[in-house]
Amino acid sequence: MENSFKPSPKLKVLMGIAACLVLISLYFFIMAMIHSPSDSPNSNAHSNISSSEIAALNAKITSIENQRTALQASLDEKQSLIEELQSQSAPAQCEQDEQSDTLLEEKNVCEQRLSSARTELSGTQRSLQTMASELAVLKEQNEELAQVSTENTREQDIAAQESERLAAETLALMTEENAVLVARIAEVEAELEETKQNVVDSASLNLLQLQLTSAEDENTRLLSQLNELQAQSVQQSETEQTPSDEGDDSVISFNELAHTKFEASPSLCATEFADGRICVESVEVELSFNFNPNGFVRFRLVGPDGDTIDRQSVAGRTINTVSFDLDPEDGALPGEYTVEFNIDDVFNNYKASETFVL
Amino acid sequence: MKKVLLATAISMALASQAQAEVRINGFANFVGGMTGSDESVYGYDDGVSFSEESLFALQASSDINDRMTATVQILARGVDDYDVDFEWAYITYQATNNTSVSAGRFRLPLFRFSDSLDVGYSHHWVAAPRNVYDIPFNDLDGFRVDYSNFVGNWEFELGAAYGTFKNDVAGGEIKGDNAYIASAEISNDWFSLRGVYGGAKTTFDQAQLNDIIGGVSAASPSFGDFLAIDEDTANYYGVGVEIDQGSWFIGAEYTEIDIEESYTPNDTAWYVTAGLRAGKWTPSVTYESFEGDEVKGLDELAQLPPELQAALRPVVFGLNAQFAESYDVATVSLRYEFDTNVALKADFSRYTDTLNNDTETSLGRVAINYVF
Repeated sequence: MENSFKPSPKLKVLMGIAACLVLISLYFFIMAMIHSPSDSPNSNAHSNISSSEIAALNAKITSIENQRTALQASLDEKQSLIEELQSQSAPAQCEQDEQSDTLLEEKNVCEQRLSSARTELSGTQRSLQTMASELAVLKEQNEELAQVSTENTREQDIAAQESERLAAETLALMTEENAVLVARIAEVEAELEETKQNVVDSASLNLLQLQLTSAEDENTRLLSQLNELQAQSVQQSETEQTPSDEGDDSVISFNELAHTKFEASPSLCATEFADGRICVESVEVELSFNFNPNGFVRFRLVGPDGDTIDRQSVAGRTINTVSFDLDPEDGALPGEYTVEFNIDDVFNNYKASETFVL
Repeated sequence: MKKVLLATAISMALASQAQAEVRINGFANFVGGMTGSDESVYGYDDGVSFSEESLFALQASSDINDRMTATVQILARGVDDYDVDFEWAYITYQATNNTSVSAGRFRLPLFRFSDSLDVGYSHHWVAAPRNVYDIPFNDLDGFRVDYSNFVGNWEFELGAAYGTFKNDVAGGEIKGDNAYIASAEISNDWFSLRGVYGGAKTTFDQAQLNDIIGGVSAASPSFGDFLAIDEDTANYYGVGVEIDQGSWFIGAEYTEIDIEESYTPNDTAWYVTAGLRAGKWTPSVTYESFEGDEVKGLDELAQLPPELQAALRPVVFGLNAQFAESYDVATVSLRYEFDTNVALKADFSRYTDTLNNDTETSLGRVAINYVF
């Protein structure tokens, strides 16, 4: 009896198919390893949803790969068993076995086991094919997803670049507009300062005018009261007078010396000066006292810079008017002018000053 | 009581001005003094006297209209037993802004302090230097024109007056007709210079002198006419200067009075004064000199026959001696501002009579000056 195993033509076909399947499996395995999601350079660029899907697919592929590895191991085991069985059913051994029933039974058992192994192999191959199909589908899905992800990433990159470009253009435009606005703001601030100054000057002038008006009103009121008091005094003195004195309305005054009114009226002209000087031809001043000065009233006009502009001497009256002549061609400094006046009289020695603004 | 009477008098004087306000001012000098010997100086002797230079006065002014003012000053001097006298009474008209015209009785603008001569509060002396200011024709009845204006920083004042004067002096009456005065003053903030010139036809009428001169005229009418002060031309010259820097001042005046054809000598007077203003205190020194001892008429006397010369020479010397004066006075003064419008003063003077062997006499005075 021959111990050598001589495969039948059927077995050879099966072995060829199994070898082909093994080769196909190896090919897909290698391809799967090459296109593994972890090797994709764009994997990190996927969105969160795509990455989770890919991770799920990869897990599934890994699971299938493990199953396929397990099936491959089982296939290898079965292949080894087939080879062992084939070796046991060599013609030499068979011839020897034919010689005995034990050997025949063993042959039958081997054939059954071989058949069973072929069946299992066939099932395993089908499962392997199914898995390979699933794997192919999954890989195809994975590729599609990767492509989609890549496209998305590219689109996102393009969109980002476009956004950056637009943002840069917008930034440049805004920078340019900002520069224009800054310049404009500076101009407006300058105008504002000037306006504020004008407003302040105007406000100061208005305030001074208001104060002057208020002072004049107060002065008028006090004069009115004074007149009333004097009238009362006259009435009182009249009641004490004899009938021969009834026509006398004289009032005897011991009041403190004071000036009761000051009014300065500049006569302006049309000439304009670049340095802000004001064209003034003259300044008329009216000054009233509550007494009649003996002798002369001396006036002095002092400019904002402290220089004496003009002096005048006026024969003293209760109401005095004096005119200060200014040179219109020289112009007058804007600012506060002082008019000093004094009376060098032993009884009516009086010295005071008032101001006005040009 | 006298003030009430004065106020009443002023009110009466201005009673015709309806609807006018009368402003009352007044002043008073209460001066007491005595000499250090029995020599008399300015009326003082070795007994204390308060009447020689004391006086009280009231001045009232009132607007007649917006250009006219009436002013009255009534003054009572101690030396006249405080008899009230109308020292001033005039109306002022503001003709232009720079010109005023006054008519009535007013103070002649002869000196720097003419207008305030009697107002002791207005100056630093107890009394203004007598050698210059004590003249017999301070007031004039007539009119006066004053003009004031500025040229740059310099103020100039021009004044002119014309009228008559009459005054009691030396037991007689001196009268001036066709009296005229012209004055000019320039000043700035610290310096002033003034000059004045005047003249008048002067007459001095005194009974005793009239008798003497009448006797001379009987002997020689031409010489008698020369000696007599009867509408004779009198001339007055004056120059004044002052530098006042506020904290210190110095001033001087020079005057000359001459009645050409008379027995009165040509009077020359001057003073220099300087002082400091230290708060309320104003110490000052003044030196004054008066020279009036010229004997007039000797040339005219020489033209007379010798027997008349011999007879009239004592008369001429006697008449000249009657009015001859020559003296120097050095004075130290102190003024203290006691209160508003009240000043206390004291001075001490050394009077040297250069006509009588340089006889020296001391004079001390105190004064209270008040103005309102």
